[in-house]
Amino acid sequence: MRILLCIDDTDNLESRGTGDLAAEIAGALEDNGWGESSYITRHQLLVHPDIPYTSHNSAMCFTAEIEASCLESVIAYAATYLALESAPGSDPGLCVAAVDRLKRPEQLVAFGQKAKQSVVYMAEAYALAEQLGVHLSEHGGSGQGIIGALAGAGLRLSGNDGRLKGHLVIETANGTAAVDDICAHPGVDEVRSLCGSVLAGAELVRLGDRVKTVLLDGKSVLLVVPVEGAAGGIAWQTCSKQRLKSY
Amino acid sequence: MWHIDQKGVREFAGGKEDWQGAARVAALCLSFRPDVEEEQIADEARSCYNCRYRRWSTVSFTCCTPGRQLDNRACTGQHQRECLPRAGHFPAYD
Repeated sequence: MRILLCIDDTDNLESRGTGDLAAEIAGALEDNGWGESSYITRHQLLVHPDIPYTSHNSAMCFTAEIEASCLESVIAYAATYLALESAPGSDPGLCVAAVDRLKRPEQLVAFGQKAKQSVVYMAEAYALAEQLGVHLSEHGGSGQGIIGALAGAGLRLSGNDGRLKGHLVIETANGTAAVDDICAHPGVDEVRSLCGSVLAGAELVRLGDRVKTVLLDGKSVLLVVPVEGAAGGIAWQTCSKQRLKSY
Repeated sequence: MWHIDQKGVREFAGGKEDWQGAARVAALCLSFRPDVEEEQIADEARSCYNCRYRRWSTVSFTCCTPGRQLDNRACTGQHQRECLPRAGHFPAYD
């Protein structure tokens, strides 16, 4: 079965990031033989004076293919891990959703999109989780992180939100690679221009220092922009971090 | 480069898109610490936008540096607006 596992509000100004905790849970899921984890995505939620958060208000989510019989073990492990590893003063929340069992998946997506636009409250999150048959639990502090955890799961399910955690290392010749070679990397599904056109396999891309992908149409997409004054057949280059900020 | 927000907290006056300004301020800040990779958004590695002590606000960010420090050696009248303020040094800027 395919699950979404999302956590939020596990850190403070001095601690490890929520992304690191997500990565450790994803790794443990595999180490325990429960299944196989995917990449981790970061999802930006609303920044608003009425919302308590450490510094970013972002949630971290991954998907995993697991044996159905392992679901409870995964939930129990993640819950215990958050209780033990979340930073003092944080308000950690955990969401685990079995995608095939979701009664109304579109409602989970809608909740995620709502949490990017407006202030939502814990009661609403718990009510929706119960209605959809989603695990949602708090593991310290005020437990406010459940809102972001549920929202992050919805945004990941949408397939069109967030940046992937980490950056990719791709072998190149003089910092340039063909699209086919880039897509041979397991972390890249597609190379696409900011305008939305998918690049052909032979096109050449100049890779920046930090190659990062974003989640679009359920794929890990490397976004590129045209090279000004292109020469040597190199027509594209990867986007700057600043350009990826809105994803 | 700072003004006081509604809660009396120092907020970066450049908003969320002043990439050069955020880099200049960070260059002079003794408390800069890079945030985790996934939360960094500026191409300049040393930028307030990449600092773990920045807290995003609706229109900008506030600086949560513990015990803000100022590099007095670098602080001259010419660029003092870009230094992190300390008590009695200079007040808020609009």
